[in-house]
Amino acid sequence: MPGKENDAREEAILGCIEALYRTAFRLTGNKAQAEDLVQETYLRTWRSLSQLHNLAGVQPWMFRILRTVFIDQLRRESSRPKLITDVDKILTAPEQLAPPEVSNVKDRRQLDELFDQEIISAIAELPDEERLALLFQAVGGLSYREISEALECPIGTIMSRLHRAKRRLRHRLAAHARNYGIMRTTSREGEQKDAEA
Amino acid sequence: MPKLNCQEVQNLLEAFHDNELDGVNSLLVQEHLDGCPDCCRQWRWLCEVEASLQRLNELTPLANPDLRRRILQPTSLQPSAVLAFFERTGE
Repeated sequence: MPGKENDAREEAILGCIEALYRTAFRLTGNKAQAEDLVQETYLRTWRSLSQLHNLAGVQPWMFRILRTVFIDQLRRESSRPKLITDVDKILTAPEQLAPPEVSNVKDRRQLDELFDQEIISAIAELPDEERLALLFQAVGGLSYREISEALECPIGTIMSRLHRAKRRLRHRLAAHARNYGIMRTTSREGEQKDAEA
Repeated sequence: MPKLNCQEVQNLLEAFHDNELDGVNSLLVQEHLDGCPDCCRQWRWLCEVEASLQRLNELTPLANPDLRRRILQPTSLQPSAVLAFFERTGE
């Protein structure tokens, strides 16, 4: 029986490779670094197997290890620039704009491409814990509960992090769209409320 | 049932989108959105962000098939062998 249990654990652990790699790729923006992250995650996984008590929790558990490996890597990269100033800038970006109506946009596909490029750089500038929560959800496919297990904090904290992260992205897209002249402004009343939001 | 104000609704928009709210709060958010153009505008922006995140996910490359092999044999560390080792040592 232990052999079968080991096989099941092995399969469950190896079944996480794809989600881990794709998340690592978006964390690092680089295939080689993503592979290094995943390989290190698996090495640590084999070493700490005794801590895995429930196969149902294997994915959040592995994402927790991925987070540790990633944070360790960031600490080693002491030259990595801090982006707090940029984040503050994003937060104060104007948002007194209405999203584009599909019918008002001549080329929706082009608009999507603009937004997609902007989203990638905006995610890269998020504070690390917000970026982890966002990518664990958007690319890793984890639920709020699983993210809370992976990041070892309450679900309420995860909700706050995702809210703040996506609010920053909303501001960023709005500012970007305005810069490209594809937005219409809203009423003064709307501007006031949005600016306060 | 108490109604939610704009700030409360905007704090819940992401969880509402992700179907992570309970039934009561989902109804309250939906009811508010139906009658509030300002929050509706925020909601539409969030939908733009979510659509972009969805495309980002779809465009994220899959792992190289070779990665699994390397993970299984980084230095001849077969998972089964490692598992057996830790079982033996009781770690």
